[in-house]
Amino acid sequence: MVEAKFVNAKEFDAAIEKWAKKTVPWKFDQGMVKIVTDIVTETIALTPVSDTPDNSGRLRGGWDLDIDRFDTEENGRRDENGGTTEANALSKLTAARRASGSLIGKTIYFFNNVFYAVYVEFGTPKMAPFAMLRTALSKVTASLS
Amino acid sequence: MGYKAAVEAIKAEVDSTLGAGGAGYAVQHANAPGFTKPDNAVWINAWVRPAAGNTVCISAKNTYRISGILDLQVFGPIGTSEADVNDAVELAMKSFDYININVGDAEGTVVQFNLAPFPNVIGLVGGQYQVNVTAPWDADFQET
Repeated sequence: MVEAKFVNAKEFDAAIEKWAKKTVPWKFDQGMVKIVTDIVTETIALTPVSDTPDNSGRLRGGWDLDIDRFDTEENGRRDENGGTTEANALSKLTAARRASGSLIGKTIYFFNNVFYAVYVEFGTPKMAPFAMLRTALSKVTASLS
Repeated sequence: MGYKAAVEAIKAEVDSTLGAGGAGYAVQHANAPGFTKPDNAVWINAWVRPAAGNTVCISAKNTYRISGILDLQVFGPIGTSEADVNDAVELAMKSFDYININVGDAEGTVVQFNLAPFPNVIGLVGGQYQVNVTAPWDADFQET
């Protein structure tokens, strides 16, 4: 036999509230971290690397992530394989989660301030678009649906 | 695989809505030979980009999903009106807003545009006013 007994509605409400406060942010953060990690990893991997030594890894290293703010200046990083850029972005995500307990209500910015990033992403009349960010987004959203 | 079928179906839809079969804009497809950019009219560069390597099994009946974006670069050479470019952008967005394309192949491929397309104004680049329209898509097909 299964029996549910509610002796005190206030106690029941308090128990539910305690459970929700603990579980909902944790579940939300789990999902958010997975989505952001996928977008960051995929975008960096899709970003082309130039053969020109002076510029090699400039665009790939130009990706940055921040919480509730974003820079407008290029970060100056050169990162051909993208590992440092990815680690840097994801460590900021983890730090923000630790600092405030949850990512609920936070705005996560993922951006690139290298001046030619817009032309590589969207193309020009003479150059095909690479669409690294939009392709990564479509891949992640398709896996969610 | 449904990739080729999906890409060809999307290209055909672009032609029938924006290109010769529809609004009559000059449309260039990737790797298509023999295209001449018009000097004084709006033209479109259409790129169908699959998110390669992303095949997701979505049911037990051997149904798979692939995804990607349709990237339409809408150009207005210097001398054409910005309004003409915006007309083409608006039509592009309407044409790929929540539509399904039944490819009619043996694998039963259905291309779905389930997310609203969005524009990005790039501005004047190389003597052309440029606006990109991005339409995310996915396609389901059954492995036979």
